[in-house]
Amino acid sequence: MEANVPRKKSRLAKNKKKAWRKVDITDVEEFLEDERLQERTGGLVAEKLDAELFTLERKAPATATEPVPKKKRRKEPKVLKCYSHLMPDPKIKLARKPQPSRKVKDKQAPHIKEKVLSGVKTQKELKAEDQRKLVQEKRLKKDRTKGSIVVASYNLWDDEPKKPVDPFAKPLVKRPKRKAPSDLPAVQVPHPGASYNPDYEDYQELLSKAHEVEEKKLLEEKKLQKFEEEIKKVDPKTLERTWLSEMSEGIKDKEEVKEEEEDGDDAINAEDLDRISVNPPVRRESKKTRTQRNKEKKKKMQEKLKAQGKMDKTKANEIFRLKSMKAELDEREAALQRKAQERRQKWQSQGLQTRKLGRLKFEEPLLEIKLSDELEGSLRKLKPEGNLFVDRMKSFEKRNIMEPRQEAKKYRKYKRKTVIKRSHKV
Amino acid sequence: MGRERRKKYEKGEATAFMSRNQAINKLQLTLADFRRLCILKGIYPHEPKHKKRVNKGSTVHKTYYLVKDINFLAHEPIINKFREFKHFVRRLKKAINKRNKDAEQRIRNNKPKYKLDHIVRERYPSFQDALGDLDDCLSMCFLFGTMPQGARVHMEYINHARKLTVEFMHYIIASKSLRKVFISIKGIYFQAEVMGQQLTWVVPHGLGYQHPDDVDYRVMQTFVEFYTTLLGFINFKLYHSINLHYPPKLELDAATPVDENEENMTEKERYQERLSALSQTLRSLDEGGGEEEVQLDEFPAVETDDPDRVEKAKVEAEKIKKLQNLFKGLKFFLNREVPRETLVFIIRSFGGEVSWHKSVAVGATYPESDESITHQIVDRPQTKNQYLSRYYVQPQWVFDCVNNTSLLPMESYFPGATLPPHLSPFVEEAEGDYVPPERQALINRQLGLQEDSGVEEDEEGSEDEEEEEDEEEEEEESEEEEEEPEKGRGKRKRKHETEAATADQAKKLNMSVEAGAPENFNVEQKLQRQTMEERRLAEMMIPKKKKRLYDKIMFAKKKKNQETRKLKEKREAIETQKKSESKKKKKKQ
Repeated sequence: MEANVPRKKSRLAKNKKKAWRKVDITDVEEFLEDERLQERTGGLVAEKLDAELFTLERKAPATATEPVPKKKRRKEPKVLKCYSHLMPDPKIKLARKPQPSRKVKDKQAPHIKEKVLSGVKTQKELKAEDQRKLVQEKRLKKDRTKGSIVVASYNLWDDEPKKPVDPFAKPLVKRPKRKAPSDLPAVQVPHPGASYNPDYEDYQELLSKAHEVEEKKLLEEKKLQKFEEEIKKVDPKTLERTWLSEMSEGIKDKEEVKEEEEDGDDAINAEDLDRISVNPPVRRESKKTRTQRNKEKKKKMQEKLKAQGKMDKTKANEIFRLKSMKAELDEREAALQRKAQERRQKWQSQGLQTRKLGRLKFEEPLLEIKLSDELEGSLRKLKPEGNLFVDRMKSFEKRNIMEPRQEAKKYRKYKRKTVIKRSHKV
Repeated sequence: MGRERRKKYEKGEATAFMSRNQAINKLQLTLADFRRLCILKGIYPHEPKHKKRVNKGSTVHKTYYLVKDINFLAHEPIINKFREFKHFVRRLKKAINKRNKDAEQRIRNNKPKYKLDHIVRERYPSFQDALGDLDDCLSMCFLFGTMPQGARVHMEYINHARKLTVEFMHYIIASKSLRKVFISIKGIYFQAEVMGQQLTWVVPHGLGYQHPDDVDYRVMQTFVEFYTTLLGFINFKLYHSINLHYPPKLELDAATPVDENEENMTEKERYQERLSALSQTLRSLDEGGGEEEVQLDEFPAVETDDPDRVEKAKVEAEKIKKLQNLFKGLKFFLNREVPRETLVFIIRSFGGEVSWHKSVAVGATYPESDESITHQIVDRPQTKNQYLSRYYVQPQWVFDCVNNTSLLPMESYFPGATLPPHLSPFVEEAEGDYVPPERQALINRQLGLQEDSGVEEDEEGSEDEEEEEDEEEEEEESEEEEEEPEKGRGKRKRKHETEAATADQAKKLNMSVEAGAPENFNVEQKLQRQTMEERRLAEMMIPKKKKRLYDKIMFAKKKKNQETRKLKEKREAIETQKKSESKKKKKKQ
């Protein structure tokens, strides 16, 4: 019954149940129920006298008013109400009690129980106990916090008598004998001009070396610059034309293709003549007669004899050529010796060469040098030049122990895509 | 009946080499593990002579390994340890991500470890082989020992490397094997002689650490892992060869009181700090002698009857003995601005005593105010020279003395003075090369000192002979020593005849017997002369054919000599110019 909403006054029919169902009579029912409850429990309250319901207390209570201690709420784990249906209902009894399982601890036979209780142990058990103790001690001793650093505690190169060889052991694999990767010394002593307080001449030598290196670099740069200038001189139009003609080499033009088709396969084109070797047809006039052939033969014989005669002459006169022949032989021998020397030197320097072991070429490390204005003669003011880490790595590369390496570039497998959110779009 | 058709790339180089990827597939390892294995085992890639043949026609650049080497690698038990480590990492990651702390701790405690002893033994079957590879090992360990915490390497490697290098330095000090020092702008180069093997290694300057980015630290770490194991074993053997405890124990460790600096350290740290101070002696295995009674190495047992060679060996041995006691009896004190470790190492390995201010580092043995200090090393231009009983020198004096094998005059090394150049001791001039005057002075001094020592020796030796040859020497005083033996013998014979006569005469004339001048018998000069004679003989024996070539070579040499002479003249001219200029200046003033 809401008073806010204006309603049409509905006429209530009091003799029909249907009508009454539409009306809300809960308050009336409540009141009546309340009355009945009161009658059940001890009489209607409205009919009772005041004296029966209330009493006046004029005296103080006999006992001293002690403050009732607050019950300390033990911190119970808060059992959430939502889990209440998971908790067992104490009123509900078990439908079926679980059977006692067969795996009962006390399932030992009585005579075994006696044995265990008496304290007599078998040898096996005693041994087992001792071993267990040892293992426990070992485990406690084992210092797990110790790092992997092991102090050398025995002589590795001690020539011990060989241990008895186990016949079932795998045969030891021998290390293949290899030459040292390089004959260069492990630590190369620097140039005397690299001292922190160098001598004048040594320092000048070192400077000249560095100067040479720089000159080479400059030369390379100049070459590149020249080349670039030459390129710039070219006209872009001519460049395009030449590019086009170069790129279209070997590509047949349309007209040419048509010509080919017209002529057919049997005909020999002018172009093809270069490739096909065809002799001109034989003619009767150009046939040689017998006399001509004989003449030619004679000529040939004469020439042959002449040549032979010449050869005989030269051979006969070679005695007079002895000196020059000797000189020639000496020259040839000298040349051979020179070549042998070169080869020997090359072979000897093989041990000092840096090999190409990988994709990258070995680059010589930069020369460490202090410029003359940076040179301070004092050890206190010395600023070290060059880094020993880099030096060691380069030394390994130079001695063919490692190949030069480059840090692997981090690249993305797929290109990054940017997507703008719909909500961001205005 | 007929042979099967021979196919290309089935024999020869193509089957002897294997590319890196093929090797990795064969061994079933990752690239990082493969690299580590190769470094530990000492297997290096090889360059084939004909790349095209090996690569079956293509010329792509690849890294090739020998097939035999890879097959040998496959038998290595460490590969299993690598795989176990991979599994360990996987399980640990799982435990961490599931937040299972118990499992994490348990797994971490059971980390798989491996030892490299058998690899060291296999790579270096004898101790001498190991010594041959010690240069590289030492340089790397010294370099790693100077890395600070927070570098991209595990701390334990750095600590281990430092510990081993300190032990090695102690050995060098005890055996007095250091020979040469060179300070360059890159680092400090040392050369020592250990068991007949010359070792050269670099030590970085102790001034600031640079993080170069283009260095692969993991590779270096693997190298250090192997080298620390090697150095540990080498140290063990070296220490036992001179009868010292290994791991080293300081002799007076218990006696020295705990310093204020040391109060906050644990036992281990205190011990390590004292050890790295290099200022105390080590305790030896036998209770009797300490390190001082170390025997010199015997000369190589080459039983040559050649007296010259034996004498030469003797001379060299004496030189070395002299060098080892260079700083004996001298007491040094180092100022704060001076590189402490290097100087302590050098001074102590030549028999001197060093100390420094207490607040600089642990292990200072005596304070600055000690009266018995003979030298104080300073590097600042102006010092308050409080003590008159000691010399104040710059650190270069120590280095130059070592290279010079003798104590140099200190005037040019006083604080504030311009130092003479620090020359490299590794330079050996060939005959006829231009020698700068400073170096010449060095050499002269060296030779001169040897002559003195030769004189001293022979004085003692010839005293016995003096009394015998007194009368003869009186008459022969004016004669030169360089007489031909036959003539000398002849003369002596005559003297023997006239001796009797002169003896009578002496008695009559009351001639006194005086001590004669000792013969200057210089071994070096004699040896030199002999070599020259042998050379001349050899020259005469050259056949005609080759004589021309030989003449050409000598001609070239002469030309070189001419050039050096010219340079010398130039230098002299410059110097005279300088002198004249300085004179003019003085006149002006």
